[in-house]
Amino acid sequence: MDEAALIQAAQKGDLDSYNRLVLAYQDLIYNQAYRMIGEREAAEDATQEAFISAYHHLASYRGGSFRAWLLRIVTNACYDELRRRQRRPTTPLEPLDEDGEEVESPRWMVDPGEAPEDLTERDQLRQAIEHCLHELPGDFRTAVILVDIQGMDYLEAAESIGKPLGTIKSRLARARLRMRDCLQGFWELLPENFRLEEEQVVK
Amino acid sequence: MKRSISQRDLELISAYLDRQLNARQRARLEARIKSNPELHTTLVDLRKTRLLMHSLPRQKAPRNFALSPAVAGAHPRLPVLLPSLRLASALAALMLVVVLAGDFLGVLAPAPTLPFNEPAIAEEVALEMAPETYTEQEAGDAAPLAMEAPEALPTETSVMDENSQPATGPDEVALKEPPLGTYYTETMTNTARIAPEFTAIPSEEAYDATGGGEVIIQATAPAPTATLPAIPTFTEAVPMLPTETPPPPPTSVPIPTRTPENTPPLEQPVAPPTPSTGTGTGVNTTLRLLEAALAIFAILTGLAAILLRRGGSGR
Repeated sequence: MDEAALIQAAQKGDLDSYNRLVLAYQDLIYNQAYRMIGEREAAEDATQEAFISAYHHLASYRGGSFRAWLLRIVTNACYDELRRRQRRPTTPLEPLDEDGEEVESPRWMVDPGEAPEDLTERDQLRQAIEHCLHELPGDFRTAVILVDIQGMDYLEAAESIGKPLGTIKSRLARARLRMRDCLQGFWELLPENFRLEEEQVVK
Repeated sequence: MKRSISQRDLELISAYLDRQLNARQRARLEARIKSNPELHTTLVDLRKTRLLMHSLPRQKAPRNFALSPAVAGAHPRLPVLLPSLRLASALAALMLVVVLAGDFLGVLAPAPTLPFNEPAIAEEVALEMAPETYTEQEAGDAAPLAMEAPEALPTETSVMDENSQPATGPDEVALKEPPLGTYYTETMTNTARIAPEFTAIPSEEAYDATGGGEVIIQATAPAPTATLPAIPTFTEAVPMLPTETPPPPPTSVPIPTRTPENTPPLEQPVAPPTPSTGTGTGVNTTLRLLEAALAIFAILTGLAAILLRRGGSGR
């Protein structure tokens, strides 16, 4: 059964058909939630909430990209979660030592579960990217996740956030510029194939 | 290292990396990049940034997010029912406010219902009555009667029951007159009880033009067949004139100024017309029922919406 038939059956109340759609998209939706929120448990909650909400609002789906429709729902669920977090007291960006002074090393460089010497360069690079990603404003983060991480084209990304194409172009360009500024000190962590690709850029 | 390129160029380079430019735009940008080191450096940096983002590992769903029937059924189809209940409650409340406001302001209160209350009808009836009385009675005879009547018959009044017909002469009218005590006594003791039989309209009080403020009280029946021109006013101490006195047309008789000498104190000058009428009471009862029904409906639908929402969100 193709996706359109599954959607149609789900709209008529067939839960099994809907769950087949869930299985097809749950990695994508969870990945979006995790990249936006940055925590596994909260991402799980947002994913579950998005799938429940999508099931109960299936009647409002009028065609188009079902993936973009689901991504829009989970993105809104993540915004809700991030807003809730903003209302709560938050921990300082830089952790405090025993004397109450801020630790100079960035939080994302300190993993309490592992000693720094055990971290591989790849882990450091991943943590650096995730840190810079979460430093972005929410709208910029959504755009860069949709296009650069989820691999969506501009049109589908625009559909996912319910904005015009020009908005996704603008947000993406500015988000990439901010990411570049944040990651300035980590180019040496790039894998060798990345450096090779750099040399092939327009000459 | 900060570089200053325009927002437009930044978007062009970003779109170029994603192959979102058409051939003409791409060729033009490539030409500029070759000649502009700043654009070239920006392109290289954004390309690396983009590749870094692509390098992030794709997160697998840690568990199966398929919905169980319990989870799927935990949220009933609220979007259909809840707005309907909210709308019904709001509309009922709005209608209740409108009805209450109308009731309070008297807009919806029923107008006096007897045909005599209509000025045109009253005038028409008066015109029918006037020729008979004036042609059959000499003006010179009528005037003394009118002047003497209050003194000669201080406690008598002309009262006509529901079956009374327009008087054709003074003698006939006198023969039909019942004793005063019946209605007069009732009027003094219980205005509300008399009101269904008598409708008193302030604007149509018939005063005797020559009687110095004495009021002619004429009984009117609620039945539309009554033809008397004037509507009585029930007061405790107003002496009544017999119907031998020719009733002047209501529209042409000025209301005289009452003085303490000729008019006893009118503590209840006018009987409340509307609430005491049978039709008005019926309309008021209907209004009250409508208001109560609207209030109950608004409350019930509002409570149902609240309970439904709480039940849906609590699961």
